[in-house]
Amino acid sequence: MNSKLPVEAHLTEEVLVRFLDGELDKRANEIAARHLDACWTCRSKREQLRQAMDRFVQMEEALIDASITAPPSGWAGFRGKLDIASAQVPCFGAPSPSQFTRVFGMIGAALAVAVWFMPSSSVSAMEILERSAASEQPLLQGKSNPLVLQRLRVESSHRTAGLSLWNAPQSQKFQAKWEAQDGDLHEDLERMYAANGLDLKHPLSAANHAHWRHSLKQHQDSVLQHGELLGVVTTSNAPVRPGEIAEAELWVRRSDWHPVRQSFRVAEVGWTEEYRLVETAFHVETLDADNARVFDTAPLAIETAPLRVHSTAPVIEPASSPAELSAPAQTDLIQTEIEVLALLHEMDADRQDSAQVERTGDQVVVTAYTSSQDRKLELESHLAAIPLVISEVHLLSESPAASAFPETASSAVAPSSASEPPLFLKPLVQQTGSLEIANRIVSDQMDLLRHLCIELAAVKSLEERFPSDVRQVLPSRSLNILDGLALDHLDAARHYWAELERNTSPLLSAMKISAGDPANVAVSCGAWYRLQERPVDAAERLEDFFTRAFTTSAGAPSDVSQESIVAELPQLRSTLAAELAEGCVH
Amino acid sequence: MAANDDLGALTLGKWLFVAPREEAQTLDQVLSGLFDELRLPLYRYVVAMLGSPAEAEDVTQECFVKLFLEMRSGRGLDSPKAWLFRVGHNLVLDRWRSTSPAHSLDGPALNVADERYPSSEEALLQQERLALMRAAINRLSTQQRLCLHLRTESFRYREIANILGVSESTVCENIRRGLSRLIKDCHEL
Repeated sequence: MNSKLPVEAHLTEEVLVRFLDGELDKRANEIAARHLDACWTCRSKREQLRQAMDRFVQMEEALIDASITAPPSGWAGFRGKLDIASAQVPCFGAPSPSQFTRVFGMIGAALAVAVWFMPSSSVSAMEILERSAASEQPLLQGKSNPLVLQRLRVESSHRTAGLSLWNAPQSQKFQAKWEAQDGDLHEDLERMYAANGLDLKHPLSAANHAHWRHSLKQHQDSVLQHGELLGVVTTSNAPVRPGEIAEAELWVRRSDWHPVRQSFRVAEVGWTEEYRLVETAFHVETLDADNARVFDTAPLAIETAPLRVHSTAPVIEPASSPAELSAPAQTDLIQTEIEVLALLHEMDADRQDSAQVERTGDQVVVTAYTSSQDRKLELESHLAAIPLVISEVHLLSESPAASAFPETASSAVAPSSASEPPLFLKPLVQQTGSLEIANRIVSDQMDLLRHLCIELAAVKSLEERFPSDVRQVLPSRSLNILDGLALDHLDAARHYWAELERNTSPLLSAMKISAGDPANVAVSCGAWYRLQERPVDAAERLEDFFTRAFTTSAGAPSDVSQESIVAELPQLRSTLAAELAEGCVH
Repeated sequence: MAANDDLGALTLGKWLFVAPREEAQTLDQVLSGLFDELRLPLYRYVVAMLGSPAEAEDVTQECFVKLFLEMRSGRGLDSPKAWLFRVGHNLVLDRWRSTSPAHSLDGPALNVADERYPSSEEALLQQERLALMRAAINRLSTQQRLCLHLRTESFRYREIANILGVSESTVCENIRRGLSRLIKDCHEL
């Protein structure tokens, strides 16, 4: 319910922070500087931010003893470690081993150097491929007759399809099922795999990457790191013919080397086609009479196929019934849900990418819409590191239909008052002496109200998602994350409420409502999930009132009138003031 | 920070390949210079992440050993400082995982410098103030704290994003949220 008034807005906090850190480009910097010269509010905010930055430095100085000039052991043993490294690791391409001998000395030692080969950006492409190819073995060895269930999303040239695979290596059974196929992607992928000698039974695999890489006369490898993922990019240095792969990428999890994403860039006449495969689910279970139905001749509908859970932790489970094997505990799912919500909030994906989280029977599904490929990769790589999660991250530009997007509040409300003029805009204009100033005040207020509603709705949503009986069974770590998440939303709500109150006097005056402090009501400070009044309801009602009072936007319910605004608004302010009081620590 | 910036601009790998013999002393100088200039900032960053000075020392040393190996391999490093912080960050994540496999960027609460003040009245007041500071810092999320810390080390957002494995916009958002939270909490101090 944005008022959409044509006014110049204040600088956002993000712009101010970037301005202070010198992270704006030249033009944006000039615009921000000009605005700051003319705007006291923004200058004041900038000073607050600057002081907070200084305060952070002071705090860390105080907490991490500023007098520390050496750690407990005074760097003892460091020179020895360097010497060991110099002695034990072959020197590739360096000018002279004796030079390093001279520099660091050769005192010898018995310490192992395996730590230097732990997963990091310095690991070799070959090592990644070998370890990744072997990553499935521990999972298979834990089952008497394993069944590998895998679900992939396949993308190419704005086409997307789902591919589910069932592989029982000991029984030599295999089944594949394409889902939501878009165009002829299935046929194109099969043709490409066949032309390049790749194994379509293991479409996303280190073995395929290694096989193609081995077939090249000349190639170049790069090892990349992105969050929790390590990537190998192999490029053919020899000319390639149409239909042949020119470059391939494989991304594996650093924690267990499991491959989660693979792409092939294939030369075509005059252009390059790219095929991307992203794992959205993976599970190993024991083949039994129930799940063996998937290998029946008649293809199964994807909805009834026994692909049940995404769990990649390499834990060898004791023999038990299939149901026990495949169904994750509800508390595990809830913990995962909390972890995912916190991660998405941390990455600002809950706002920036409209990320939604849904807990189903045996998995946590994340749906998000990103504006760039980089952002998509970032989200997917972080989510891929969390077991039991299925991520469905879409590019906005590739979205098949507008209906795929979450419906916004403004589009969901009937325009009951669309044709009616604002109830109190005229007195506000008279009071301020300028339509532009009045519009700016209203615009700021509506923007703050919208943010207030979003933050409070997030708290309400957490309260509903995790009721007391659920919270009681959660471990303290999950509870801490949940509390932190809710308090972060409440903090943001307090911030918006304080800003809103600073802005509200002229608006109240135009409505002939006293701008004094809101009446005292019982403060329900306590745990965030025990808010006695629903502040989100009050905030949404307040938003309706201001919309009807000062804007021509549609959306206010029919029971909002001049009388109801004057009668109810003070009580709403009191409720919000009580719940969001600065000293109220939930 | 001028010395750091100069060091950050060196391409060590290139030097290793092309440096004539008479410049050999420079390698030693560069290595010593990097260790002298960067060990303390890196150590403090790792302390902020791990909360344990002893462990932080170990990780910091490991980072410089890895830097040494990287230099020997001949790979170019445009910014050894950013490289060291990224490796340090990843090593700490590995340690977190080894102690608690389930978690991601959720390290221990900052809890150092507790025993630095004797139990006089002044010391008690100081401890109380430290407790408030610690509470304020601990109310920041781990990513917010790390972004703010790296910012104080004069890293650009792009470099911070590279170290933490996130996007630039996430870095900015974490800094913004962290500062907003500190603004609210600062009145307690």
